Amino acid sequence: MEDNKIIDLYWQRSEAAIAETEGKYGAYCHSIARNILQSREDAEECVNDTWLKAWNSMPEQRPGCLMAFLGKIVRNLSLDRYRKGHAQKRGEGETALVLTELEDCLSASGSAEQAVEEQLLTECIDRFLGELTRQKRVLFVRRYWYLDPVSEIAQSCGQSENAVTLTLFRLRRKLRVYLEKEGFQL
Amino acid sequence: MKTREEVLLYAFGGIEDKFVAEAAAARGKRRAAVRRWIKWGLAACAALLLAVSVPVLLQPGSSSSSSSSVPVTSGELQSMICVNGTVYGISAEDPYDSYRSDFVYLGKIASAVSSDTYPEEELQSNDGELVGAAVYQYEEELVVCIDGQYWIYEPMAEEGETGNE
Repeated sequence: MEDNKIIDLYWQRSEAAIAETEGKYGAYCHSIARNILQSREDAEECVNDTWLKAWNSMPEQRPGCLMAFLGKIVRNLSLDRYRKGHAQKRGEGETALVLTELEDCLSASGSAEQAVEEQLLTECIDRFLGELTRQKRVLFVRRYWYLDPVSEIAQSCGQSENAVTLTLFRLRRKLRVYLEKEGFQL
Repeated sequence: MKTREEVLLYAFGGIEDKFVAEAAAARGKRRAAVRRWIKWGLAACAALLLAVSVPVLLQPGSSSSSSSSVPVTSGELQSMICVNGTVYGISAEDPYDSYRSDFVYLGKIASAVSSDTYPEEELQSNDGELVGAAVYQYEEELVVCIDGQYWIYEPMAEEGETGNE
């Protein structure tokens, strides 16, 4: 079913909306949640919470890209669940690895308490991504938005894991320079 | 309170939908390619079963080593360097964390061609970000210093040679 028709179901408060959403985007949302959370049960709960949030968001909202809309909800819910479960230490899995990697993007002397408006930071990241080639941007987004494992990214790009690791390493350094130039002291 | 890395990870989450969708398409290609591979694998097994009962020679070059059946995206090649007429490609091995005394210094990457081209000139790369990086010989391989790490480049097989693992 086309996204517009699925969104119409939400606006009509039809129960078929959830079934259609799950049918079309269930696997997609599951893959995002599983990348972030190590537990199948936790991922399942986050996906179910995503349907509830979507139900509560529409009407009012009418997303231009339903896939990205749902993906962002499940990503945030999963990250929130991850933070709750790892309050003391980072633990294992892709999320822990990604958080460690993102240290490369940060200045030595910044702090989260400094005035960083998350929305402004997002807009800056958007401008950074817009300047990359499509291939590099896809690689970067797959790693830091979807938290896809490096091995999976490498296989689909036809590159070695090391080549992907090197590219990501350089892109993270590039992002740091970009953020500093834009005045962010993270 | 979020750590700095978490602030960045959450901020990354709000990027434009078009970037999310663009990457989703690339993820989908890999899954479709895996499904195609599985389908061809099953078909190959069925053909093999038939061949057992029929005295027919199997064809060589079947899908047994089809780890490369995932389509390579067009455009950029892997990072490569040309030294003494030999092209070296980036290795799958982890980089060295520190300099070793038996690295033999060769020079610095002097020039770069575009990423979809093979380098041909001495100390040339197809990776523009390597220009100025120090290159060393280490046994059969090259080692390139990038931000304090020593990345390994292996000689690539020439055209016509099959890659033996």
